[in-house]
Amino acid sequence: MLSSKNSALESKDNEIFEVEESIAIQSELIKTMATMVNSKAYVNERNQMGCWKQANYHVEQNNKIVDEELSDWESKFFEVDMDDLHELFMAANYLEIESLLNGVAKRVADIIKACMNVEVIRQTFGINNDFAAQQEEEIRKLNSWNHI
Amino acid sequence: MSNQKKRIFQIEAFKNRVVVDPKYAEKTWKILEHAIHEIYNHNASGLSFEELYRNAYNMVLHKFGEKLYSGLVTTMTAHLKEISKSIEAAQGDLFLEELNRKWNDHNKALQMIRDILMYMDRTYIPNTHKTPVHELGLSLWRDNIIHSGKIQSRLLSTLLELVHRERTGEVIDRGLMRNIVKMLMDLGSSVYQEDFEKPFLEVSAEFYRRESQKFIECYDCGDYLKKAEIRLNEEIERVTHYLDAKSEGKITNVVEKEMIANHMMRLVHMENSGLVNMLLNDKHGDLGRMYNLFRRVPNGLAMIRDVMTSHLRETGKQLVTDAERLKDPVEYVQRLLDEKEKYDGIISLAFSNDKTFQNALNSSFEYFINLNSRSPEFISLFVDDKLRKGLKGVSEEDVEIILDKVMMIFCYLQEKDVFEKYYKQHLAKRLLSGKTVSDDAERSLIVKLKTACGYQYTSKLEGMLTDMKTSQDTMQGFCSSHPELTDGPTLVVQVLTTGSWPTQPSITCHLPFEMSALCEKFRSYYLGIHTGRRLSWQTNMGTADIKAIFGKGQKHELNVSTYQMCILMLFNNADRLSYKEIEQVTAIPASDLKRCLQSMACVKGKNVLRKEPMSKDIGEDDSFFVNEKFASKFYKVKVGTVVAQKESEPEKQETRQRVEEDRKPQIEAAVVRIMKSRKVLDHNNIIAEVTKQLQSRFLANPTEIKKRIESLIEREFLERDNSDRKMYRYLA
Repeated sequence: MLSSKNSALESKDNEIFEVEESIAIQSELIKTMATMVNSKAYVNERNQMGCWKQANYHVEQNNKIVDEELSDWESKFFEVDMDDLHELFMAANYLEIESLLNGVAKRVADIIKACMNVEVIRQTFGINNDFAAQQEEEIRKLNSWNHI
Repeated sequence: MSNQKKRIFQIEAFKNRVVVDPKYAEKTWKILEHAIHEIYNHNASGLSFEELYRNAYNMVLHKFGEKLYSGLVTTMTAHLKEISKSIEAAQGDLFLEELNRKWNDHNKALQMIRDILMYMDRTYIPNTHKTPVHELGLSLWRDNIIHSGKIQSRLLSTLLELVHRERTGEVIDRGLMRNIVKMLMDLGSSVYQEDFEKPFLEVSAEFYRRESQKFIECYDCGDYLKKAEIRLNEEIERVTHYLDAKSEGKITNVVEKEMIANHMMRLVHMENSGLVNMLLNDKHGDLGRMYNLFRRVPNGLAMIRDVMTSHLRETGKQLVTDAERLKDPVEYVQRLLDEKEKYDGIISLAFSNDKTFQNALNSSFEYFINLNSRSPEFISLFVDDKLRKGLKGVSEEDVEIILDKVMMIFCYLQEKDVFEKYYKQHLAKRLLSGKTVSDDAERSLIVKLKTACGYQYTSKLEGMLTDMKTSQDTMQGFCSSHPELTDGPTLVVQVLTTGSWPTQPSITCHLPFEMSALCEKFRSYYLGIHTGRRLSWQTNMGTADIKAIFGKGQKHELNVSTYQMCILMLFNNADRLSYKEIEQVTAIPASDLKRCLQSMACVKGKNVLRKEPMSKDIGEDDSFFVNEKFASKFYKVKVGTVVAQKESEPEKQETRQRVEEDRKPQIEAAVVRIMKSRKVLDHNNIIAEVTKQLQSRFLANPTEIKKRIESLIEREFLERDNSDRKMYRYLA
């Protein structure tokens, strides 16, 4: 049970964070766990993401900053390299923090938009081309109006 | 995000790719499978939620959702099969408890499992349209436990057994029942209905069928209904305690059908305790119960209503045709009033003022009251009796109540014009003999009649009352203008307007000298005030008070009619008078004269005259003397007052004839009225319209209407249409 105003959360790399309860509950997962009265074991969490800290920070900031400044701050926050972005993404998904998830998704969408064509996207995200040559030809023909 | 500043991104490929161990899926699943086992074995406390959640999350993320899901199904099914065996093994009464306990366990386990597999529930399952975890848990439970061969039938029979026991008076564990029933409801309404409700209803129907058969043999109607009511309430209570609320309507239908609808006929017609018996004995409680129960079944109330109506008509018919009762009109009407009051009571107390019953009551009364054509006359006589003496000393509100009750009966009459005729006669007699108990009561009744029948009906009646008042004023004026008349005989005159009063024209007899002088004085006084009017003395309607001294000095005051006064005054100047002499001098019509003499000479206690010979009838050659030996206990003796009586046969015929005559112009007036506005109308419609218009006075006879139409055609008020013989046209 999160008894005090601050809850103690342990991350995978055994770092303990003191987090305010209201912020911790932004995460759906933690919220669910908090309702489990039974075992203390449930409460002593281990997070697989080292980025819990970052995730938490984002949430904190979200709660503090007023709207206009928010988008500025957010764009700065999300200017990280792909790996960090990926970690952030996974963390948000696992912990089910909606605001964070939306922010990262927006960022990724912007990146995709900024890319010129398919090849660039593939390179950026490290996706392998698993189409057979013929297939690819067909798809390009069908979507020629899209200027991919 | 509308970011204006363009950035140059650093495009780098991912550095870390998550490496998937080929055995990863299997390993992860084993962890989860173990966890499920532990949960079912009540060992969940040693598990870490976060770890399990993470494992499930990873499986789904790495596209092993299928494996996770099917593994879940297999594991859960296996556990449920074990649980099924343990439930089957339970003995006797422990069966339900075991089932209940295992159900609770399963629910708790399911909850935990669902929390752990939350990510799969949210992502994999919607995508693949599979059953969510919670639902899956319920349907697995249903398939493996509830619908398992050994358990399904045993469960049902156990539940039905418990219900049966409770019905026979035992106390059962209602909490347990509620839990089990709730379990069935949670598994889906079709489970509840198929696995419990339907058989429950069938078994209940059978139970109540048997029970009602038993009851109907040994209980009378009232007790049977009590039992049925108890059972009905029991079932409703049962539903609130441990069944689905939707079952209430269904089970009450079963009880209603088996206990009430199937035996309705027999209950109503049961000897010595059925509906008729209840009505006769005013058993309001039983009647109310019957009403409430029968109201629930189709045609229940209709049956009660029909039996009540036919019973009422039967008793009513007997009432009005009972020869004994017809001898006393006041008793007759009182009995009608009592009957009405009784049924009003029943309808308001037991049948909750149901309008349809009120209507049935009204139509029945209307039916049998009009079976006896003397009803109008009798009602008038009843009112006459009340207004003469019956209402003496009664408070004003009570007077109103009684008059209102009479009005209700009056409204049932179809021949209201007959009533009017009699009422006028009786009212005239009351007023002229000064015998009415209260002027206010008279007026009040006339107002009620006006409300019921309209102004025309009561205008003459009101005229009569007004005349009485006016006469009083006239008398005062006369006395004050002739102060010398305080000595000698006093005269009280009532001046009646000819049209209003039911007077018959009569020949004025010869008044004794003392009186005729006085009468002339009054006549000149009156005509002095009201010029252009004609007065004629109605000597057949007056009364006189005479002081008489008999042979031994007995002094008496005699109250007699005017005719009798004329006769008696003659004996001031003669000792002996023959019939013929009397007739000549007084000029009283023969039949009246005979009656007067008879009442004065032949009636014991009133025989102020002596007749020779001493026969009962008056013969033309009889002679009369003053009866010197006349004796009476009272100082004031009333001799042969004119009192309203039941009419003799010939009188009755005469009245009826007069009524029929009066109806003719009324029918004609109605026909002319209708044709004037419609211009053209066919035969059937005319009949219908005329009947409707005259409804408030009497029931018009179609033959009579036809005759009147013929007469109107003759007199050129109407004509027949040339092409269609059934159409009539109005002639202006």
